[in-house]
Amino acid sequence: MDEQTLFNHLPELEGQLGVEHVKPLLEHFGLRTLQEGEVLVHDQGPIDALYLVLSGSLRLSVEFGGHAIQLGEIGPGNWVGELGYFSGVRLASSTATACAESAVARISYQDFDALLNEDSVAVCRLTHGFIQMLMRRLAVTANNPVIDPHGEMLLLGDLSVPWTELAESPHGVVDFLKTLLGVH
Amino acid sequence: MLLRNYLRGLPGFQFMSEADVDHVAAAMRVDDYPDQHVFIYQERLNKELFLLLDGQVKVCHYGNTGRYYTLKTLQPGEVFGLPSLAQGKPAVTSCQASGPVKVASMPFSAFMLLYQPDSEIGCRFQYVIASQLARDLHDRHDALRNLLMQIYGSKPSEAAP
Repeated sequence: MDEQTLFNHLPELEGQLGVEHVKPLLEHFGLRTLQEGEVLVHDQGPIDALYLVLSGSLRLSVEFGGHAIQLGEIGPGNWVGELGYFSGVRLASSTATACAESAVARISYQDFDALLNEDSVAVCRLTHGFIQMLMRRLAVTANNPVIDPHGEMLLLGDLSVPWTELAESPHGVVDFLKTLLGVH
Repeated sequence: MLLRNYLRGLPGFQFMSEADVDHVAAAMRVDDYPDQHVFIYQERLNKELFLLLDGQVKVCHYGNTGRYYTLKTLQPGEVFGLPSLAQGKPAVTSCQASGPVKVASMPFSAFMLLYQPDSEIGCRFQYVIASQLARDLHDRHDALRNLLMQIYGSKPSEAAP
């Protein structure tokens, strides 16, 4: 993949992490392009890295015996592999398939651990984003799947968290009170 | 049981310093609750973070088909109430004691102080939260996989390799 794709998303990354915290992350990134229909990780297959979607989108599904439940699609700014990292279970929890030509940035769990020592603030802000994604995915998976007209089992709801929301963090008295009162 | 010692052994707390664990423990209050006690109601705002110390808590959901079902039965050592608390949105699930339970709770104000991502303790506390959410989602995916197993049996489809 040309590095232009990564460069195009620097503003969003800088918005999420802060300008000075992007460079250490970029040093660990490897880039990969996926063709439509190409599988990035297989459900229950070994996983040892986090993948950031830079362009295109990935469809996530839980599989068993050749059957699947479609969890939804995730777009730029969202990650794959965070569940394996934080749960400690080094198996993919879903299959991630490119819906169209997509670009992802890869950072191994080992490098992510190393980043924790190099720039804990970057890891902290990324973790905040992971928490937003995990909460969104938990909300979507609370419902049982439905069957669409094509006989495919899927979950209703938007799995993808916009990049702008991944950067949001609670700050100050106003946000504190808004959260306390449930005001949005 | 000393809460700080209990916290020290939980997943996600390994990055916390002794002082961090002391702060978290000091912000929590331990109580006993009877069977069927409801900690969190679906569609209502939750304002506490809970840690199950003893007993079981069922996480349930009124689904889009009108059915009420159990998503997960929490075991001692698991934290619950996070999404509603962190997002300031109504809870997606309800959490109810299944038998008598012992639970440590942290008020919203203390949670928000710890949840600040731009502090050192906040970063480590977020790791604890992410670890619990990941375990919850992992369990949910397992449940969905079990659903497929129940529907299609243990026999792979013809399309499967």
